[in-house]
Amino acid sequence: MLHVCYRPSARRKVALYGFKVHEKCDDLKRCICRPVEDDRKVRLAVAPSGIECESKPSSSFKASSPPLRTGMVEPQKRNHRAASDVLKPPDHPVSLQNVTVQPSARAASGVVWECIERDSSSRRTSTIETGSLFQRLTLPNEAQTISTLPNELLVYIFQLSQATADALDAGNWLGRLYICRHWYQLITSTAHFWRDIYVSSRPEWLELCLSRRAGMLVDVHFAGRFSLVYMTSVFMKHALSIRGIIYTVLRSSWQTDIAQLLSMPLPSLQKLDISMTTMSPQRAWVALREANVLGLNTLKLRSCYVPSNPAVYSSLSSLDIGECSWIMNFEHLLNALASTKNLCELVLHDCFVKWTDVPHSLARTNPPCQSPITLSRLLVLQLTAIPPCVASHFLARISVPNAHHVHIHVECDTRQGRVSVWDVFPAHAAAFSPTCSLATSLRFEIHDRHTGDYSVTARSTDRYMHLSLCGTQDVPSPVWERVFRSYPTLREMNACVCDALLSALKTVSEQQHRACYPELAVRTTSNCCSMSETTCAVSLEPMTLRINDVHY
Amino acid sequence: MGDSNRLTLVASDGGKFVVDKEVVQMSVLLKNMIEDLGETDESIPIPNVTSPVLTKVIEFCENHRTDAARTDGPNVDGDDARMRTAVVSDWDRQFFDVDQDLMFEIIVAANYLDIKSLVDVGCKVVADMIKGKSPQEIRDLFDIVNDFSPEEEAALRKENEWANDR
Repeated sequence: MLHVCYRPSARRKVALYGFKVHEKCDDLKRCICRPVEDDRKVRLAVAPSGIECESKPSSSFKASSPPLRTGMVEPQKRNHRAASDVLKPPDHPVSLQNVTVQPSARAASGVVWECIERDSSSRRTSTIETGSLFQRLTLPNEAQTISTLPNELLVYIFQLSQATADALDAGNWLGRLYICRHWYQLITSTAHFWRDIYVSSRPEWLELCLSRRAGMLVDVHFAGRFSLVYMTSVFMKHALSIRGIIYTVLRSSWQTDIAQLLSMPLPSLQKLDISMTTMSPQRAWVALREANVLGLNTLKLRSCYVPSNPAVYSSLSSLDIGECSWIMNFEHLLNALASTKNLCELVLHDCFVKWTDVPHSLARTNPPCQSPITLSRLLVLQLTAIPPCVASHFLARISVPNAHHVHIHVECDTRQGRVSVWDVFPAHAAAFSPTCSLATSLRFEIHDRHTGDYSVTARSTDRYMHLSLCGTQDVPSPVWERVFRSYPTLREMNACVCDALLSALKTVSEQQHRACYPELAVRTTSNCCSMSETTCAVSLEPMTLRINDVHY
Repeated sequence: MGDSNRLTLVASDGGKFVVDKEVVQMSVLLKNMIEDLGETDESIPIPNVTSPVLTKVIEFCENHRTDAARTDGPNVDGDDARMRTAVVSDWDRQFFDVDQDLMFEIIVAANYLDIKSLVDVGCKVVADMIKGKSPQEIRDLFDIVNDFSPEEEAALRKENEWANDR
């Protein structure tokens, strides 16, 4: 039985819905076709479930619309939203380009309808399988307005619709493949989309993705279930194309996984990210072969032993180490950093407890003998959860003249003696970062594990700097004076007002012959723990001192 | 001699639009044309853009005329990442609250005229429409036909079943 109805859509396309499918095309859900006489696209839907008629013919549908005819019969009433609007199909054969669908002469033998293909050159006709009809029919999707977008814009939309490169999002994103042939072809042929491969328990998937990369180097993510044993041969085969390894899943074999992965030859490796976290004290060995580190520019490690081979660091542009254990001492790390030529980002987090060659006193009281190393290209410096002594010695031993983002978060315990930010800040402040006052983000914080926060945050989003001081500021007036002199473009400060602070402001103002203190605009935002202290915002006139004028 | 700060754009259907040069210079294509033409009273034909679409494009440009960095270069990875998380403003969202035909025509026109901010916003709006939707919902949204044969679809799902295998 062939049931056909048609409707003009909003874009003057005509859709034919609802074949009761012929026995040879039970597998078909829908067929697509285009009429000969009109360049308007026609959709012929073959649905085993029968008719779907979703809108009534509009007045724009004219008699000159594509001459769609069918040899059948019996308009369907099922699933109609507006059954009365369904046009009764004419009982003539359907002309579909060079294919005619018509009732079969072999109806008696069970074949209800058949497709006749007419060869326009030879004028011969032949019966074709409906399955092959499916392949021959023209896709109507090209008539949809979204298909008017150039492929590069469609690709851009796919990129934007992918919220993150996270594995959990990858499944959703891959759903785009199922939309239609065009999208499938576009996505599978855009190598950019196959640059991040999330391995699964099926090595075939890895193989498939690698086949779609079209020569691009890829990042392989280990974020879910996988079997490294089955994947080894694929890895070996495509070793040259692997740019990055990102291992973020915690599983019982993580240490051996990492050892096995890194034992493979990966000459194109540029990025190694082992960032799963564990409460376990166990650490993974990161044994990088010399041949695998020649192009390594990004190294991110968590819960690992930090590699001691200096060659690992020489090409790095980004080094991010957290909650790791060291098998080299502080001096070796400094040497490794000194060997880097392109290091732009240095992040060390909560990994400072095992260095035995760092003095147990602040650099101010126990100055280092060696001169600082210069990390001339470093833009981002982040040292967090670092003990005061290590922080002071670290900062005393490096110079970061071009850093625009500096974040030092010191963890201390005031029961072992109070430490101020200014104790940690390097004595050679000018050499450390001459552009401190131009930094877009400059944060020095002291976190007291015992009594709570005690921090100084200086942030500059433009040519002026904003300074925030949180927690109890038990700092004498001379220290405050240094604060105000240290930030020549200081314009706004958030702090707990105390006598020492105000006194220092007054002193600096007097020395600068500018009455900034009397012009303070103090606005109370909340009360602090004691009545004498009030959190407020203080506006200052820009100061004129340079940071290299500061002497501690 | 007309106002040297204004020029006339002619849409594909003959519609004429007199606009400030500053506004149309959001379009890299038109900016280059204006530079090439110099001071002239000649109108500029926009053969690929109809009047309704050009009206919307001009509306967008007039609203965003003060935006900085409006003629950025092509997208780069970092830019895409920024756009992914960028929030489309209420005005822009309302601007694209039109039927799909017009919406895509605006995006195509913006691409032709090389107005990056309009392309970005338009693509972001479409991306937001897609985000979180199932394949069938996306098909319904854009009136796309599932033109895979059942065998192909089954093979495709098998091929990509890893997504549920993580």
